[in-house]
Amino acid sequence: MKVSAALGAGQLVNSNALGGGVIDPTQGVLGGAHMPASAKRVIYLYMAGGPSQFETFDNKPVMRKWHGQDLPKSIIGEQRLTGMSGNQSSLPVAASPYQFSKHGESGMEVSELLPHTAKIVDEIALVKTMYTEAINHGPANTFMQTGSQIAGRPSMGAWLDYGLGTGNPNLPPFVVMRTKGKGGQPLFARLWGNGFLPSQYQGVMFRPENDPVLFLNNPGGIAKSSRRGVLDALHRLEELNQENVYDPQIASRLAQYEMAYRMQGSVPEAVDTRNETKATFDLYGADSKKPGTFANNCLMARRLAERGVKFIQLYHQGWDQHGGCAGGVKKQCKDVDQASAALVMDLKQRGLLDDTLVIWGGEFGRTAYSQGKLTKNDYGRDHHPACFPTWFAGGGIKGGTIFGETDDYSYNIASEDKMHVHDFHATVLHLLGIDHTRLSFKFQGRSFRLTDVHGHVKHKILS
Amino acid sequence: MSHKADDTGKIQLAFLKLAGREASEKELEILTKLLAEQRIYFKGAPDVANKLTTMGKVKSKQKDKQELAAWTVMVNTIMNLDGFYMLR
Repeated sequence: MKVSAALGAGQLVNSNALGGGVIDPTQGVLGGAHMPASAKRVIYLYMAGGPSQFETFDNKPVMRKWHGQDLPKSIIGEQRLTGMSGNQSSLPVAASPYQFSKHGESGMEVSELLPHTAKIVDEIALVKTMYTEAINHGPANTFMQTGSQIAGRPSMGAWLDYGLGTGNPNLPPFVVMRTKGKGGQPLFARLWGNGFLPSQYQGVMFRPENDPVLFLNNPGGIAKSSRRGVLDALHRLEELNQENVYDPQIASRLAQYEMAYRMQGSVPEAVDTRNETKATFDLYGADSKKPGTFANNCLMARRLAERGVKFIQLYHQGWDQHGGCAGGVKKQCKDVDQASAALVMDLKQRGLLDDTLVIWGGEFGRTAYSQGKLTKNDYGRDHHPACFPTWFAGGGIKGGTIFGETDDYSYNIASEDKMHVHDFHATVLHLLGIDHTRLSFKFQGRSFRLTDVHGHVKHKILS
Repeated sequence: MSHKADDTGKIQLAFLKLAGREASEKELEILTKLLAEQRIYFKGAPDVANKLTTMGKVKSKQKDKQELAAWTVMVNTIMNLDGFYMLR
């Protein structure tokens, strides 16, 4: 590998010189983890829109007593409300109509809308006190994925790929899948973007269709050997060119050409679910045979995890119940409950759960009071950043843990145990063997981290 | 600037038109080697050469499809270089 003498050592690390010679794609920039990793890969089931905690994981029986009465000012305190409900003349408490019961040895409370998740409670650590600073979807999603509300930073998956490399260089290290036809708040590519990292670290989105990656087959007249010759010539030519033009984008582009070449061989097999057994499809549910469903994406996630993909992210939109909350959350839960639990169980029966971290959660929670009119059978809930649930399972997680408690209205955090977005990122990196204070990238004159200058590992959820 | 009708001259002309500068000795060497490899490949795979040279809108008068295919790949390579789509 030839690098011009004009490049300093720092740039050398940042640049990923041509041909990937400097950064080993299986080791990442760190050349291995900082400390023993308890998870080798992540599957992040992202519930976009802000799932309500009241109908899922945070049982608030006291609210039944106050149902329909104004939420006390002492509870709201100084917290800002959105423009959507902030000017309402009253903010009536809306109790969940759904029953909760205790499950597993841990006795974790789960709502009746999540009967399958209820079966895996002893595998999961439920964080009831995640909190964020953003109150609207765009900044909140961006914060959750990149550690900043403002666009431009690399996403978690990009950081992990950059830091650690991947278990399988023939597949994209960071794959994104979304449920087909959900609508709701838009998802932007920056949520799985590379930010200021070289562009080969961005997530690759699979289409929610039968054919998840288009144009894998060479067109007539292009053969594999001929294509290989072209790529080899391009590498040699750009290497010469690098002495005159220093732009890491050239190396990135070549890395992408190579990845596309390797994906032609690896992707068709990875996404072909025809050999999955009936028992597997039954586990994930009937939807799992339909491409683009959440269940099918969960099954695909397991297949990609088996093949060493580092970060697999599923987006399921539609958790934004400003109105019609009771019915809306019920429908959303039905979409994801069985397959989320199936994924954890399937990983476990294949011995993969030990080193795969599964995360389930959204960008914020919802309000205890009703947005819009509270009627006998219906209510809405506005955005609520001050507390919301997220669960973790798998590599390095202490199953059956309940972390944090909220107040009687799940409006404020009522425990010492709480997890800011930066803490969340620090903890995930820790599980992957990374000290979050020691994975950085110099950009515009200073070093940036996923956690910026914040973040504390929350050891209580770790095994 | 005139270009000879031999391989080197043709590669040089293609490079100048597509990348906006003359190719260096080393670049010529790499592209000449690529052309030679592709010629050998397409000689052994006339069907592939036929497919490659009949796709697209432009009909070439070149009768030697294998030769045309080898040149197509060579030119396509130049068109994938940074020098082709970036003005530095």
